[in-house]
Amino acid sequence: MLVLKALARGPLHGYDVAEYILAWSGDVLKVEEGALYPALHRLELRGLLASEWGVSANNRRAKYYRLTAAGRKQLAAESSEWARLSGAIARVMEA
Amino acid sequence: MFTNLRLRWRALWKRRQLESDLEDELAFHLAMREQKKGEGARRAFGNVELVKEDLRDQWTFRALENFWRDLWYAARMLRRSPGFTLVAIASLAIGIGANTAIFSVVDAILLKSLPVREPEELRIVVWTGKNAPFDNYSGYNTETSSGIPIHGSFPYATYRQFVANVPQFSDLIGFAPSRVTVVAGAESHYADAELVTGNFFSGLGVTALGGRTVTPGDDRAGAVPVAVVSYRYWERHLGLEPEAVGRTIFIDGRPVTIIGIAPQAFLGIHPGAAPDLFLPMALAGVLGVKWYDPHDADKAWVQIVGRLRPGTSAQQAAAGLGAVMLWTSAADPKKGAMRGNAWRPVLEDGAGGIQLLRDKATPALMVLSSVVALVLLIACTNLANLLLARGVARRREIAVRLSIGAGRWRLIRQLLTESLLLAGLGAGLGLALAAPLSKLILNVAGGAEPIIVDAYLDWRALLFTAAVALVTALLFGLAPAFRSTRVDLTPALKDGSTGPLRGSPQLRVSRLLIAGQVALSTLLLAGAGLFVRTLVNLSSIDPGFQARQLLIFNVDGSRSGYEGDKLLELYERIREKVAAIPGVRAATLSAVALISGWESDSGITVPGYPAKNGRADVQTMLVGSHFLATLGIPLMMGRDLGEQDRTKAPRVAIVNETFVHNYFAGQNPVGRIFYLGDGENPRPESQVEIVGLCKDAKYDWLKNDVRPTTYLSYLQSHLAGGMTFELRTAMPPMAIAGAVQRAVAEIDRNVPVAEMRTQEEQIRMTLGTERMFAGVVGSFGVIAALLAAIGLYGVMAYAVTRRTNEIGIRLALGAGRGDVQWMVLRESLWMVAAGLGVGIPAALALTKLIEQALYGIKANDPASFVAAGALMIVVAAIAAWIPARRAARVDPMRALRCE
Repeated sequence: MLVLKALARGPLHGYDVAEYILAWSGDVLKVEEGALYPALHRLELRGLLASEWGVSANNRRAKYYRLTAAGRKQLAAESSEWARLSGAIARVMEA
Repeated sequence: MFTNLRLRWRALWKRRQLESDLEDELAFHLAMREQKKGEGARRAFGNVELVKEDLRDQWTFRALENFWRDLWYAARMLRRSPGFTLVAIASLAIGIGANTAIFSVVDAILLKSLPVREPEELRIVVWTGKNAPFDNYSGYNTETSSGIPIHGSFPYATYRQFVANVPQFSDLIGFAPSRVTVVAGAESHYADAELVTGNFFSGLGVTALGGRTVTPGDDRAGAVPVAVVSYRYWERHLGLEPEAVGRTIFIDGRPVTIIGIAPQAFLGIHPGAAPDLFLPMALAGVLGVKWYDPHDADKAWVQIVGRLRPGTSAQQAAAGLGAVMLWTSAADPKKGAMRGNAWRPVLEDGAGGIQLLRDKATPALMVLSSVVALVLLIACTNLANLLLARGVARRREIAVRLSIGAGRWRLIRQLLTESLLLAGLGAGLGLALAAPLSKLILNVAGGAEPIIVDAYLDWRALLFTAAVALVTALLFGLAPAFRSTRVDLTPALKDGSTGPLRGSPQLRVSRLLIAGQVALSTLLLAGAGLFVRTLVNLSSIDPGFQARQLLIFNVDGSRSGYEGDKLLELYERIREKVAAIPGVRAATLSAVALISGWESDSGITVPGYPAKNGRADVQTMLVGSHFLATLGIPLMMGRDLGEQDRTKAPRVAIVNETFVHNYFAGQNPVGRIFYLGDGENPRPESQVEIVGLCKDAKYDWLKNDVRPTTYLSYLQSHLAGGMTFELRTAMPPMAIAGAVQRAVAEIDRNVPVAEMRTQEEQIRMTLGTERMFAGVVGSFGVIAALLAAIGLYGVMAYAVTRRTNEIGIRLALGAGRGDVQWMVLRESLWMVAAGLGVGIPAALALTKLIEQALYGIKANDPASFVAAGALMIVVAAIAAWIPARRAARVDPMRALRCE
């Protein structure tokens, strides 16, 4: 879900996906880098992401991932589910 | 899901691209990371290669690719040990091939449904009970599986009433088997015909391969005579020519137009008896059996199969039929339904057709199936053993692979792939063996009448073979695979050959397997012994006549328009003509061939015979002149039948010794008389004078005891059918076959000669089942024993190699070479003894089941069992002797230096 969210704004390569998640979460969520790529490829094979090769800011060949239509739908479904769940947890904790 | 497959499929074709992409992507990531964090980046990432492998697995069909790789590896391993591979594939091919062959036969006879539309809706209509409203019956009589006696034929009138009054069937189809003479062009021959009602093909849902089928329009009095030919007939007699449709052939002297060809798979309603021609039932009584008469309600000859209307139960249908039958009984003036136990309908499952063959063939097929299953089991045991030995030989290889990180499951899968490859190759070769084998079984088993069933290898047989191959692979591969991957790494790596010697678990399993193989082989050999002895016993029975140099053939002039005196005249002319052929010493004829399974019974009355007012039951044989002299049956008193015993002359007969012994208390019978039939008020024309006494000779079967028999002149009987001619020749009988054909054709081109054979062939044919049992069980028994020997040799050779050190020490310490040899032999003989100890009692128990198929011996025939045991011991001793000798030749110096 986090990966999908990171890509919701536009195409990124794998390194940036890890960096974005780290940055947005205020350095709390540190993505295990060894697990990141298998996750990206799994999502690609499920058709939620598409990829293409591009040139990075520092002029190197890099693989950019972007969300597909199916990926957006999945993200929407997962974020609403997450909202429901986290809201519930929050209410329990506050009680 | 589809995206997944599509992407992976694409990746499959761009393998190198995928590799470099993965490489680049990760390299890029690491480079970026390094830029930012410096040195520790690579460590933080973890094992790059592992990640890469994970990614690669996602993109590829890993299981499949592994399987391919395993297969290649397996093929390489098998090529490296051609001896092992050859033995493995050959034994599997024999085992699997034999099983497939038997399966295709079993499938065709017992399991397969008729190739018709919705066969499960079909019901065979038969009847049971004592009192049926007719006097004459022609058809089969048998029992249902629950033991109710049933009869297959109905009068045509009853069939019509069923059609009109039983709406529970959507179709009621009538048919009747017959035999006809066909003249097509210059050729003439006999053919099996099925008379069928007009709805036969449409009701069954069988469409013509070419032309059209018989329709109700053809089955009408006065319709143009037509015929549908079977595929087999089309192939044999019409050369598969499409122009055959529309041709006119002459059947029993009448022109008949061929209107269509039946599909190849459709062989009629009786499995095993495939008709050549299908004729409209309107031709009954005109073509083929003259006795069939659609207008005579006193004759039952129509067999019926019905198709139940969807939603109708068999009970409702039977009730409908029963009502009609009750009504016909009540309407019958002679025997009304009042007498009780009137006929009533029985419905039999018709999906497989009429199952007369099933009852006949089931016991034989059971024996054969168990035999081939045993052979396959032995082949599996053998392979398991060889694989175990190989597994031990490959301990080092396996230990190395395990120690560099191969998973145990991965290795087991690899080893099983090897087994699968072996089984697959064996199955492939086995399929090639199966087709001729199943044909052979059918030809031999049928005896005089070959069994024609649809037993070619179809997808069902292929599926069966594949399943058998898979199961066998697991059976012989699983245990060795598990065992050989359970390796204690350190000693295995240090030295492949040391380790615990004697009680090694590998060897213990091998020994058990060998003992099992010996037991199974003994079982087969004992069975083979029993069957061979049965065959020998049967073959050495003296038939009471000279079977050598006797040519026999059948002629039936009644199917070419000859009747009454004309028919007798035809036969006499043929007899005189063939007797004049150079090389023919004598010629005669008889109603049926001797030892053909056919016989004829008559009740006679013997004046002076005290029991039952002189009523006696004897076998009768209608024969021509010089019958005894031609057949070589010794005449004891009086004279042979001769030309003087013609139609108008006093009726005479020859009787055999048993006849005289039973009815004349052994006194001279010549000159005495008996009456044919009921003797209470004997008519003068049924009086027969005995003119000769001959020695006993076998009549219908070799294994049947000779019964009181009388030989009557065929010229003095009401003969209506065909005859078998017997020619005593001065040369090999078949050498004059051509001359005989020509001689008969010169008399009348339209009278065919059928089933030309020697008397010896005739006898051999009746021993078909016995010959097949002896041949099949015998050859499989020998194969099984050889496999057991190979297994024993393999295990002992391996054991000797492993014990080279020990043997070296023994020799160095002063053991004699003989001692060493005996040590190895003794070990083998223990295994054999254990196998025999299990095998012989098992065989004793199991052979009881085949006692009925034996002749002249008991199922516990000691000779067969001793021979089986002795053969097994000899074969095993030879197999064990080779490694034993090698053990004795061990050079102690070298053996010890090896250490």
